[in-house]
Amino acid sequence: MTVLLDTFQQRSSHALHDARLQASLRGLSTGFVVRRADAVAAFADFEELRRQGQAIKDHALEHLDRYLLEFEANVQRTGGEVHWARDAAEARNIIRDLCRKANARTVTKGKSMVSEEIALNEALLADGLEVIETDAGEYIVQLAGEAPSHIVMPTVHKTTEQISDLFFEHHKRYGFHKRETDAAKLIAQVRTVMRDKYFAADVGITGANFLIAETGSIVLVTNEGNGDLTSTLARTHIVTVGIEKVVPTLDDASTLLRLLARSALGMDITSYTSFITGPKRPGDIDGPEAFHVVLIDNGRTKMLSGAYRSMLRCIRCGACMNHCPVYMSVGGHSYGWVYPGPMGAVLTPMIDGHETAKDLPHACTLNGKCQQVCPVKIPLPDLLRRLRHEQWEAHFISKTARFGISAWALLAKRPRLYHAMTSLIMPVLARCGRGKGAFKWLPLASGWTASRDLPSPEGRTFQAQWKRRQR
Amino acid sequence: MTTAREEILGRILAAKDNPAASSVDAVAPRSDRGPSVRPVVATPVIDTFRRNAIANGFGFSEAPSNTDIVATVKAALVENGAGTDITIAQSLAHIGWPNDWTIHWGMGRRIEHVCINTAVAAIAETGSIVFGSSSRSPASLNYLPDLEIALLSKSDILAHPEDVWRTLREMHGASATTWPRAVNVVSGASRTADIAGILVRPAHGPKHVHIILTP
Repeated sequence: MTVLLDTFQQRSSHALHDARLQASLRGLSTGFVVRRADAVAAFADFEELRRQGQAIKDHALEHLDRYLLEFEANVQRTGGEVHWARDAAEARNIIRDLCRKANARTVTKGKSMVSEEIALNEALLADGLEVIETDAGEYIVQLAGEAPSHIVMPTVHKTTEQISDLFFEHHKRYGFHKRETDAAKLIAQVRTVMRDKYFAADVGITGANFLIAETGSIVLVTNEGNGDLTSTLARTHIVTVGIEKVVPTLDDASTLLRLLARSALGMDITSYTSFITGPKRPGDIDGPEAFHVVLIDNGRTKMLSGAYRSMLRCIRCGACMNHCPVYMSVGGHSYGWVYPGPMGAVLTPMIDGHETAKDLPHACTLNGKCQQVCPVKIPLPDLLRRLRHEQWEAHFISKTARFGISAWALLAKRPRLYHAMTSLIMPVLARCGRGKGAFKWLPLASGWTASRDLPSPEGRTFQAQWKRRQR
Repeated sequence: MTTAREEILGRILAAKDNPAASSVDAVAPRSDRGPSVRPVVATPVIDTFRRNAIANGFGFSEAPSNTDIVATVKAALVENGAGTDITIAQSLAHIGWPNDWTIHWGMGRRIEHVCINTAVAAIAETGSIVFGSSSRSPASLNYLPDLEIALLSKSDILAHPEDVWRTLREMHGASATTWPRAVNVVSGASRTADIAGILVRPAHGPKHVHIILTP
């Protein structure tokens, strides 16, 4: 997928004026957030669960070589193959080659953020393959030619009417000629279309929520059952997964699954959690004949070696974005790439570099909510601050912003000068704003006031008022 | 030329706090790291399981003895308005199914109204049923029908998923080749909210799941 992050400001501005998107985002904030809070409150010691989740991931990351090798040995023992990819291009080539060897024409896909990260669909389509996303949300954005706007709810930006139009346009070839606007009828069409695809699939590609070293299993979590049908009915099952997803044992995965469902959806558990270990066994009457796991680095070892290792704990629940005021205002597409919200603001520059993701670390109010709800306690605000600092050091900050920040720093480091200047400015602003309550426009700050009001000051600075009360 | 595998493992070693120390033999086993925090499951476990399974939307009935299984399945079919063109797992071939049913014994078909399979365990904590795929229990039966009927022995109901893993390890050994290709933990009907957040059942899998407890 092409990274388009240099347009973050235009995208977010567009999103702020998109009434339908704003209505969808409001629904998200009242849905996921409340359900998560209820689920967390119902768990006797969620803080201890978070602590254990963090400990499991930290342990697995510190001993990543051991657990990846153990995982690899167990996959091979059950007849599967493990492939290692340094970057996105290498991962794509491995999978293209596997599809060629399988004489593939039809490829079904379960939801996989990593496959989006490595731009897999584009590569397979260029090879002439039919590639079908089977998760209802991913299928809808695929038909629309869009990227997911949320890692758990890919269609959060789309209305029923828009989806109805899409299906009316694309489903005639499957015999659906009537425009449907009812969600159940629209999903019934998806179910019918996908049944044929599952059975026709030469290759089924899924992601994995976790890898289990002790058994060589991959874990798939869904509510729809599409990942299970993809991995069961295709002749070849290929798993695309980041190297950081491995955990030592099934018990460890159980702890992380308790965190995942509650943090992502406010549920105790999703409808389907599957532990898949290798290809079909001798005598089995279903299951794939071949099983491949593609372990993808693509910047992860760089994170492992530095100050960003904690980001590799991420279990892709989406809680950080559901609680982020910036994400909730601008939506996922504003972030311009696969991973939106606070986790994306860290991951994208780490995977794709500061040059293309320069705006993202600044798309944050540093209110700390993301860290508070993160199931594995990733210090996202600290990581974003560090990225800002690195951008400053590497001169990725625009000249205008550098001048502004330098001027501010000059003032802030001189308290007397700061106090003298604010003492002069406050009364002027207070006089100008008298009776208005707030400024809707200010010279040299129209960009700021375009989307928010500046409350007019009382007339004296905080320090002046404080001193007066002390007397 | 360095392979991708060697290079990635090399980068991982270089990223360690102590790069010289390979961790292959230096990791404490899971049992040394303390028990995991998990919800308390009230006893009797079967009651907690039943309560949570019903909360998950599962249908629930009980066959008092093995000779009652067919009658209990029949009642479940009537309850769900289902017919008798059914795919049944080979693990249940020993049961005397009615001669007037159309029974298919293979993997799941493209159109499946009803499938009957054997659950290997159940988890009271989440009201989940657990299937282990084998030649006699195909995984496709758990995902293709409109109505899935799961036969579950009362003695296979456990408190937590960790108990299921312990049982499976005892049966198969963690890394043995007899470990099921697919262990499917089913905790509700297939569903999605990908259209405007409206909950729809089913998505790709069963609309209803019915559990029949057996002795």
